[in-house]
Amino acid sequence: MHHYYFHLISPAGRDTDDVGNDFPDAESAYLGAHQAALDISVEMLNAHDGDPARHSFEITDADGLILFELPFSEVINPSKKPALDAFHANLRRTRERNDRATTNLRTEFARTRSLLSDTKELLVRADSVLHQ
Amino acid sequence: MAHLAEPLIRRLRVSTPLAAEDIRALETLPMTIKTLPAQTVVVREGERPAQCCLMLEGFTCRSKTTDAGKRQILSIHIAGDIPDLQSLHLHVMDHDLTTLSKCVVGFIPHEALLALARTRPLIAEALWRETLIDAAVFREWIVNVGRRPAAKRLAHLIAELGTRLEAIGLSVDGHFELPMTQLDLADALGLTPVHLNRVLQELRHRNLLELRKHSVALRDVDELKKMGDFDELYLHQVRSS
Repeated sequence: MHHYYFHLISPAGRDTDDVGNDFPDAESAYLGAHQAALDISVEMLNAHDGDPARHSFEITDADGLILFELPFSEVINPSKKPALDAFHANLRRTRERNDRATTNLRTEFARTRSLLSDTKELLVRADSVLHQ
Repeated sequence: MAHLAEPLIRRLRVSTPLAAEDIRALETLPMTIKTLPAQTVVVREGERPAQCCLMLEGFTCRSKTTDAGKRQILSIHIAGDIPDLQSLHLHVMDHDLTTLSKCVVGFIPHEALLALARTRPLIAEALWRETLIDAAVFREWIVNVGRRPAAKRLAHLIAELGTRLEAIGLSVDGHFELPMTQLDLADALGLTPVHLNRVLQELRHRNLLELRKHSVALRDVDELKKMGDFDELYLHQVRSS
């Protein structure tokens, strides 16, 4: 099981979820969000409590990485079923972006480290020159 | 030391003025004590149990599952309850009884309970009342799950559990253990887990309660009860004469 957070974005702002829910994988989390968005939309319409089409879920993983956004308008549109293909493509892009960022960070880190060791070496050399 | 049947005796005495003889008879009921881990099926739909399960510690629930695999929790049971008392007279279980947390239960053979009910009419009456109260709780749950919006459903359920736990001394100053996962709560309220999560946040934002892992702290009991339309009459925790 993995932990996911379902932040609610509305015209009133961003309602942060700090409890979260467990799901076996990101696809189940997406389907869970889809079902909840539908139920919440129906409740809002019943109670004449705002326009669900102006709400969306922002789903993050346990580390806070945004995996996908789910506009309620996508859910309450009867022509649309859970857009699993688009969801997977989107998730893949997010992961690739994340992987690229990690790789860039690693490269930067390695470069900084080598620079640091060069500097140290120079300092040692300078030190020995000074003490000759 | 308190007798093992103590939670049951205390419970039955609320609704029925038991005589000293009745209490002695309850204390001598044969009982096999078992400790069960969380998520253990105690009795399954279709089974024909030969014993009843008296709750001594922990939480159990009764549930049914649709053909599509969706579970509905029908009731939640705590110390002093006999959640499968109906099996004494309805021999085939028509639902599952499962532990929600680690539980200590006492299994009482059917023949012993039947013999007791036949010889002690007040005990028979008390057990009958128990099943009637059971039905009253089911009626309340039908209204709750069928007619209230999600946040009110959760408020009602938490108010009910708080009230029942307080009656047996397991809720102090609005603090009580609630070893139920979000999935359990969602299944008890007919909600999806993510929706349950959202209404939980709503009750927290309104400062009605704090739900930590496996415990609840009520911040404003009166407001919580008001929100959930909660009137404890249906629990019949006070003797009506």
